[in-house]
Amino acid sequence: MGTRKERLAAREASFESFVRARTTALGRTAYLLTGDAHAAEDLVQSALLRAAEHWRRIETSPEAYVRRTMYHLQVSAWRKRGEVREHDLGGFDAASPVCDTDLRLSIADALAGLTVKQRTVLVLRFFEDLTESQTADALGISRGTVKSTTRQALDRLRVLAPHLAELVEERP
Amino acid sequence: MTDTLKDHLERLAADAPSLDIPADTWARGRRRHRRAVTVRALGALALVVLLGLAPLLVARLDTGTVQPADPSRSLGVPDRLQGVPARLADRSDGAWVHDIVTDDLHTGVGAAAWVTAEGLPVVVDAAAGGYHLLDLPGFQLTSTEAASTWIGYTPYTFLALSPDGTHLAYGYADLDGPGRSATVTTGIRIVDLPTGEVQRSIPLTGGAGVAVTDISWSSGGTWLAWSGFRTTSWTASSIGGHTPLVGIAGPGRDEQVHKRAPRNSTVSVDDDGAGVVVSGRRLTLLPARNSRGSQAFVTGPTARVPRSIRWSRTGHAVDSALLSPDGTQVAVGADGEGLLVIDVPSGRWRLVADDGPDSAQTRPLAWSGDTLVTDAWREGHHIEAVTVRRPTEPRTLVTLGPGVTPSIATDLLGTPPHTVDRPGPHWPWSPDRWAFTIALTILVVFAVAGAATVVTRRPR
Repeated sequence: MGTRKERLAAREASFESFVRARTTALGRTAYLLTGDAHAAEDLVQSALLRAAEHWRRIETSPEAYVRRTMYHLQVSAWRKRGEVREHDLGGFDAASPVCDTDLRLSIADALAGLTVKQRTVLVLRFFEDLTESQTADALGISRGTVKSTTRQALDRLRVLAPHLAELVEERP
Repeated sequence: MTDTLKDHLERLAADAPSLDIPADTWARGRRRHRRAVTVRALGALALVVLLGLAPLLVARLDTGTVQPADPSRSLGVPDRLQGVPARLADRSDGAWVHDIVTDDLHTGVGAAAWVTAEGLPVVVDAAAGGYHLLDLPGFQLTSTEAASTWIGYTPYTFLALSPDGTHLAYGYADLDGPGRSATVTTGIRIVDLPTGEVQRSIPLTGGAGVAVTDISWSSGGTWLAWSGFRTTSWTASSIGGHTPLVGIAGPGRDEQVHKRAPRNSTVSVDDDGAGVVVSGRRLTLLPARNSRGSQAFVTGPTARVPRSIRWSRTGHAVDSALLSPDGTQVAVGADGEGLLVIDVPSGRWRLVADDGPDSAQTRPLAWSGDTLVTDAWREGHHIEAVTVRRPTEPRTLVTLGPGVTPSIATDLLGTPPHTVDRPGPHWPWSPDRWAFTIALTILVVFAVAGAATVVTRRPR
């Protein structure tokens, strides 16, 4: 069993090992969720800080906890913006009549055109490979909301980046 | 095709810059953990303390409850008189410190008045039951020296409310001049409470000044009886000489007399100016102002004056006496004996209230028809009503709090005597109460914070 000091030292070593091993993977998800390197760094740091706080409880499966924390922080971010209504772009949502390859939006720019909610749902469904139920559970929203948000996100991607249209067939 | 989207997302994710995770993340996380544990522990502790203190809190908060006075109420004597916190009677340089003590004497008709154990005069008004702490002009106990000299074991009253509650009589001592060279002017002042003005001053001379320790009114409120001491020296820093005196004062300028009396004498007067002096076991009738001579009654087998009245079975000292409005009866409170009524013409006496085995003490305050209103220590301190002709169990009229030995506006009790319900006093919060409240607030905050931490804790 060891002394309390030894147990604490072992936990710290375990945490440091987890950080070294998983920071890159976590950073990728965070980058997709936020679309910004600094915001991604903040998101991962916040999640890891919480993991350190509760390490004794989560030691057996820390990654699930950290990812879940990241999703929830994102949820908090969009809920804080809840007072701001999201307006349709209207005319600006129309596809560009000029199919100039140079003007086409990249996938990153297209994601940046989504709302935080749409972006998060899309990342969880298509990058993290979560089912609708798992996504709903992870974000604390209903399955119907996940379904409708996914559809809206894909529709918007098709508008913002027509060249990606064939890539964004909705999952059955 | 969505796999292709996944591929694009993975390619985009692969472009994610490397992240910098601070080296102190673990240490900061542990600090947050310790803080959370501390908050939860304090919250639990606060909850336990709150539950433990709940009965005390309820009792404490109840004492501060004040009901609004009903302006439609008629005048009356409250059925409960509560003590005044000692902290409100702090003095500095011979003046009251607390703002609640006022020199505005406009209290309206008074129902009860007394001097606290610290020497502070209190009047409870008859309309709303409000407590007025008064800075009476020249009140002799405002001086620290006088207070330390006269306040002690003997329960002096120092002031008296007229039977109709409109006037307050008290002993004054005006010091003129600085320090040792000061001269003192003493006497009795009468304040008209509905107007708040000093209506009359009755100078009392003798020695360096006369200290008035007990005052009472005749039943009609026309004469005053008083007892006190003649001093040989009286300055701001010292008082010397204590020759006992008793006296009576009438409505006219020349209608006053005082004489030397045995120590611990008290005196009562009727509306004709006839008085009765009580000195231990000796009870002397002073003549009405138009009569001649005096008649004395001496208790026990050592009678040596006109006649002996064997009203004292045990020979205990007489505490107080009260002449009936017509002067034909004297109510006597005898220590260890009870409440006796002596028929003056015949000398017959009878016991109307026995002190009983619990050594109660009874002091007659007023006659109300064939009922005596008394101040009695009997399983607590109360104002009681005792029927004279058909002795029955005394009926409690007013429950008295600690340190309350009041003068009562007995006319307001009515016939038969009765009291009214009035709200209790509302005193400014003490430093202790502030500290208690702040501590309680902190406890509540910790309890709420602890509860919130537990409730909002995210399940794994």
